[in-house]
Amino acid sequence: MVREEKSALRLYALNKAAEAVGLAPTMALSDARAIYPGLATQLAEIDRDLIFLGALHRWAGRFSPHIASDGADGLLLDITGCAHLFGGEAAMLSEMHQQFTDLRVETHLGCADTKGAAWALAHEACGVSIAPPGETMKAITGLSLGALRLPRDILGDLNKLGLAQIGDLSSIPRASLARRFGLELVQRLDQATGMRYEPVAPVTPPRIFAARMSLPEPIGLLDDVREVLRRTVLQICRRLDEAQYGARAFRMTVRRVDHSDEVIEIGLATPSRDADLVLRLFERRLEKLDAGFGIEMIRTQAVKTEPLSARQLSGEPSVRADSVIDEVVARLGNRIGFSHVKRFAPAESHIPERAFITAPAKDMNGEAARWKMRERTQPRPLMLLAPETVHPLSSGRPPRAFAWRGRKIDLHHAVGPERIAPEWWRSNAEWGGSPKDYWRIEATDGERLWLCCDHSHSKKWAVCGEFP
Amino acid sequence: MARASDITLFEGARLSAGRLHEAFGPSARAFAAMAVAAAGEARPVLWARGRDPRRHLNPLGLAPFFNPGRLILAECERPLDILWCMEEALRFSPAALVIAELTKPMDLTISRRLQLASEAGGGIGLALVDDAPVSNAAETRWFCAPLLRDCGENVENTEERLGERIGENDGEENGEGFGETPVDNRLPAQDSTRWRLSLIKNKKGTNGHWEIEWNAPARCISVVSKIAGGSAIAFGSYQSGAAFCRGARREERAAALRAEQGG
Repeated sequence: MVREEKSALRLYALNKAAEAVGLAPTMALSDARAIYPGLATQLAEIDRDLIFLGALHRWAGRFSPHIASDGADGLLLDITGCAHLFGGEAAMLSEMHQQFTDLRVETHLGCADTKGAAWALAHEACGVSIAPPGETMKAITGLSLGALRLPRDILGDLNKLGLAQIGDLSSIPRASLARRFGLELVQRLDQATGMRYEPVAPVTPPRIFAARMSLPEPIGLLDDVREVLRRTVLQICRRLDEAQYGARAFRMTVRRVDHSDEVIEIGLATPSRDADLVLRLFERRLEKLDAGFGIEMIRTQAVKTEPLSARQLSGEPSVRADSVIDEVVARLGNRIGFSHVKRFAPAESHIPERAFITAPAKDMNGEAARWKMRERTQPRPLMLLAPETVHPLSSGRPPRAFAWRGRKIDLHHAVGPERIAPEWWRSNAEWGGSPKDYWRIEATDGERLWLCCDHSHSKKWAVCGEFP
Repeated sequence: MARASDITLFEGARLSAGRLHEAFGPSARAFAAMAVAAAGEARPVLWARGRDPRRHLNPLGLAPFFNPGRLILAECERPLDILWCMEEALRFSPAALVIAELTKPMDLTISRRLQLASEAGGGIGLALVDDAPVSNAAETRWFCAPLLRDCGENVENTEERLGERIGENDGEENGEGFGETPVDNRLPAQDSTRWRLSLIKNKKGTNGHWEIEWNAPARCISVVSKIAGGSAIAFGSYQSGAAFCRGARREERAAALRAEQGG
């Protein structure tokens, strides 16, 4: 396995045969080729390695509830109080090893009183190694210093002095070790021997809600796909319900006979576990699915899950209206993008352009319901335009005739001015620092516009809106 | 899910459920807003339109008609998406009203498809078109345009006083025969616009022409007068309205083009 590191290909992981000819990780690929020209390489996929480790993390839950992942290639299990369930540590580890072998995964297992010592045994001793309780030091004394999780430079210094094994350190006074190599060496040693406490910080693996159906015979009919999808989604939704979770997106992976995948993803406006809704949203997308020579596996997963407590879905009209809105938003959002399905919410401002916010409907939680009617405001235009500068063709405030969009507009009637001052507590480049006067005007040929004049030096006239 | 029910704007003006309707004219959006108001409070309303960073729908302008929080706005990049959204919403969602601002008139194919969608879902579709509509499958066609204010009631001009108040004595500007400019400084809190509403196509019923006002506190339309069956008048106003629409639309496109070239 190689990976690209600082624009050079370097070895990342090796098999035993490669190690036997003298290759080592982090070696440049060109050097490795020089040593062994017939080296077969493949690009490492770190992301997928991590996904696999995540899967092992969940799998390891059968041995102990307290699991932490350790770097990119290790798992740390706190088996306190668990070993006797499997008939002791040795039996437990041999079962673990057996199961890994069944999965065709090569593993090194270490078991000791402390996290440091277990790490050392797993990384430096081969196969399964157990340090019996109270005999940690004895078990690790013969291991090389690399087992102490030390930085590379300290390790190099120690090796230069001829210190190769952990046991070599025990004859040297701690004070001089600390003085010479820094506190870290002593600290690591203490962690391995148990003089310093080091807890396992367990991480709960993210919950995965997915269901897969492998089919004995390839399918190609839309109805069959629909049925498979229905079964998987029902199963996922049942599990989401048990866990009190809701999903914001579902992904359906379809594997065809020729091992090509097609992925369909749908989004939801709010977290949900309503199987009918999910199926309805999938329905449109299924029509475009290309079954190729047949589909042999379908996997459905709830991606982007979040806790969702139970709530009443029918009954109260407001709740029902909400769920209706959510479905409309989800339907449209899946086609034109969730960011373009919007709702209006009021905002605290008297500036016409700022008095409301337009936000994606899926991000609004009841804000849209806060509109209340203010009776005493001036009428506002139905359409707000980005200000379009007009050229007055006659004098007057507002000008009796002006040119707008290449046309002459003759004033028939005007109502105004309404003065709107800027918000002094906000700096606003587009508004400018001066107040503006607004007129509602009616042109002789029918247009009803919102004309504005700002009080800055330029005294520009602009059309800012259209009344219906 | 319960189906949408007919929307009755006032006696004689009705948008029936499960049907596609069409409105045009300079005040087509106001007509749509009135229809939303008449549709009742319970259900959401979908408004699909093109994505235009220079022209926004203003919720404060909609507020006199209905609560803007009910509106779901779908901003589509392509004209086709507007139609798609409208069809999808008509077919599947129990929205009270589905409004779409179309960029070109609906032809028979489009309108028939939308009509079938509203029949299937029971929704009410209202297409707002800019240009004069062509023959299509919509059940009703409305024309809405503002009426020019009668300037006979014109009022005293307080501009000079205002000029003093704001300390901007632009003597020359105010001096030059300004008194004739029809400026109303009284700032009435309500828009007292009157619209002319014409039902010029109706597959199930009679046409009609009305002069209407919006009564914002009561949230209903008050019919000022029913313009008696002047088909000649109606035709004349329809023609001029259509011509006006076309002209405005052309100008708008030209302006957009200029803005594009300039920017």
